[in-house]
Order: sequence, then structure tokens, then C-alpha cells
Amino acid sequence: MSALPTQIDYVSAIAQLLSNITLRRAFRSDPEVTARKMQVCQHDLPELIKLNADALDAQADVLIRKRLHETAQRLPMTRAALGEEFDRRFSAFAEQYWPTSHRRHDLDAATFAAELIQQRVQGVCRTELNSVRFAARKTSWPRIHLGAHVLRRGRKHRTLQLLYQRRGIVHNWIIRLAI
Amino acid sequence: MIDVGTGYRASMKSWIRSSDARKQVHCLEITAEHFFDGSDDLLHELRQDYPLFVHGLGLSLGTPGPLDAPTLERFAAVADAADAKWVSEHIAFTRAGGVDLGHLNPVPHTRAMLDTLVEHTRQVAQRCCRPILLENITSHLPIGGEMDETDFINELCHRADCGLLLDVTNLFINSRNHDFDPIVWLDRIDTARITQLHIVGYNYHDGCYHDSHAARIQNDVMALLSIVLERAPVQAVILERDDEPILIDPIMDELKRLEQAVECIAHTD
Repeated sequence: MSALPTQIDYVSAIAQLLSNITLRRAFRSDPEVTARKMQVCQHDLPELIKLNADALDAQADVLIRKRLHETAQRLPMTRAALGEEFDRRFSAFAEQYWPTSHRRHDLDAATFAAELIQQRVQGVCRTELNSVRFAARKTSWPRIHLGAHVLRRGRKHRTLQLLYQRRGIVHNWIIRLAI
Repeated sequence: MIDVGTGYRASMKSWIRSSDARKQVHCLEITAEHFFDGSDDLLHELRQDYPLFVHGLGLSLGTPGPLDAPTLERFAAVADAADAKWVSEHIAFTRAGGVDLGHLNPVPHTRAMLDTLVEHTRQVAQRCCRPILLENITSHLPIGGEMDETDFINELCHRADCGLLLDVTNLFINSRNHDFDPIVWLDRIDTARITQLHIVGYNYHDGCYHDSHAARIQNDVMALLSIVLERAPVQAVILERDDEPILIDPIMDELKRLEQAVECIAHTD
């Protein structure tokens, strides 16, 4: 005998809608059909389909914006270099990637910065990328990075970057090398 | 006596140990998740100078099913290291349906959700061996249910035997975005449960009010704070600024304003 498909509750359904723009578009188009496809349990279906599609989008936008704010705080020079492109790219990235754990903001920043590098986007600050990667891993071993470049007064410089953790706080020292 | 304080942020580490800070800050609220990676000795130092409250973001009390055990253990460990006077969390969920949304979302005001929140709240209080407060959140998503919000919160606090951490700014923001009177909301809430307050300025853009945690407290929010102080046995008021880097002068200025608001009520009593 085959197992019955698992039905999801109201809160789980809201979470799936808030994290999936394609699902929200389908819900906007036909809430009941979408809810049934999501396998929302019968008890919760009537309340779920009453949800306002604009309000769902507004709440979903707030979630992305809060993540953007946290990521921008961790990558300020990269954001300054990319401008609006940073926000646009992050919004697209954030729809597909939902990190877990209490280090989620560090993971967001590290994964996003790595994706920008992979996509060969110009303007990513390497010292910021090193810093958020270190924070996301929260290893107790210090890391040294040589050769990361910092743009200062329109000039690039070689740097020595030292990252270490002390009493739960990540410390980041960048020494500009006179070469 | 009502203590006025601020949320602790890593970038205020040097300043918070100074005599200037100790004159103006009378309590600190610690975000539990910021200490999950082991900064117990920092908490031991902070608690020498300030009463500490531990505030959670990720227990997701509104998620059906069991609480995440490792998260609860880490939360309790932070509460112990801080010797927290009380702990707090939110009437909300952050993860469900296989996804961690990372921020707070509204829960339906149903009997089933009430049962979930009561059970989880009691469990956290029991594990932490401390009183627990629950906080109201902002939301752009009105969710219906069998009960209205104030009845839901009243019954939740009664059944869970917990206090209410009233976020005055969140109440103000929701009242403007969802067009209701916050005074009527206060008339209906069991104000005897209000133990602590959160406050900060709001932002307004795109026709909507937002909780960005980075603005000076507006006069209309201060006015709402004063009304709450008159009606409720508040023990602490926490300023929730999240500027990065942290700006000390604006914080000091805001704390002075909050002290004045608190003193004004004390003289009226």
C-alpha cells in the first residue's frame, strides 16, 4: 500500500510561499489550485487561500531587504563599487539561497561574494570576501592572506590580511605593503 | 524603578565598559545568537557591570513540531553565562516547511497555534530556569485566525504564564500599516503582563512604515511609549539601534530622552 502524500500545515505553507517567487506568482493566479498542489492540509486550506498576494510579496520583499542590509554591512566596499547592481544581484541570489544556522548573515555574504567572483563581476573587494568567509566558518585558527588588493585613492596596493577569532569576535587586520 | 538600557552590539565593546556608558546605560540586552560561538567570558564581564537580558531571534516558537534542541541548548547556555534576569523571544516563526527564512514572520491567531506557542514558551522557560517574555513583531502580511491579536496574546501569556515584551515601535508601525488605533490595542491587552519595552525610530518609504532599527525615535512613538509607561508595570526599556558601525552620541542622546520619559511618569505617580 503506497504512503499518503505528506500534507503541510499553514505555517509551512506560508514559509514556502515567502521563499519562492514562482510559487507566489502561481498563488496570485489561482490560490486554491496552488494550495492544493502544495498539498496544504484540508483544515488549513480555507484560511491560506484568503491570504492577500500583494501582502505576501510585501512580506517576502522585507525578508530579502533585511538580508540585503546585513550583507551590505559585511561587504560595504563591494557594495560601494557595484552600486545598485549589488542590490539587484543580491535580490536574485537571495531568492535561490536560504542559509541556515545562527551564522546565516555571514553565510549569505560569503556565498554571495563568491558567486560574484565566479560570475566575474568587477569590483568585489577580496579582503571583504576573505573576512566573511572566515566569519562564516568561525574556525579558531587564524588565517593570513597575501596579495589581496585594496583600491585606495584610485591605486591598488598589495596587502597582508590577518584574520583571527578572539572571545567569539572576528578580528580583521589589513596591512598595506609598501612594494 | 524602570531601568533604561540598550541592545548590546559587538562594536560597542570598548565604550560599554567606560564610566560614561555606565552613567547612562542601566541594563543591557544580549542577542543570544551573537554569543552562540562561545564568548562566555565576555558575558561574565558584562554582567559585572549591568543586569543582562537575553533575547533570542532563532528559536522559532511558532514552528509546529518540536523546538530545535541544539538551538535551545545554546540559548540556555548563553542565558546561564549572562546570568540573565529574564529571557525573551518572539510571537513568530523564522523557519518552517523546510526553509529557514532568517527573519521573523507572523503566525495565525488560531487555537492550534496558541497550543504550539504555549508549549514552546513553557519549554524554553523551564530549560532556562528563568522567566520568559514574548515580543510582538511587525508584519506586512495580515494573517487571519479564530481570534484577534490582543485576545491571542492575552491568552498566550496567561496559559504560558509569561510576560510581554512590548515593542512600542512595532505596535506603532503595525497600527499605521494596517490602519488600527494603537490606544484601542492597549485598551484590550493585559497591560499587567508588560514587563519590558523595545523602542527605536521607524523609517517611512514607498508608502509604508518599516522597522529599520536605525532612526531617531520620532515624537509620535515617544508619545505612545509614555502612554504605555502610565499603564503598565514596566521594569526595563531597551533602545534597539542597529547602526553599523554603532554611533555612540545618538545612542546617548536617545537614552537621555528615554530617562526623561521614565522620570516624567515617576513624578506623576
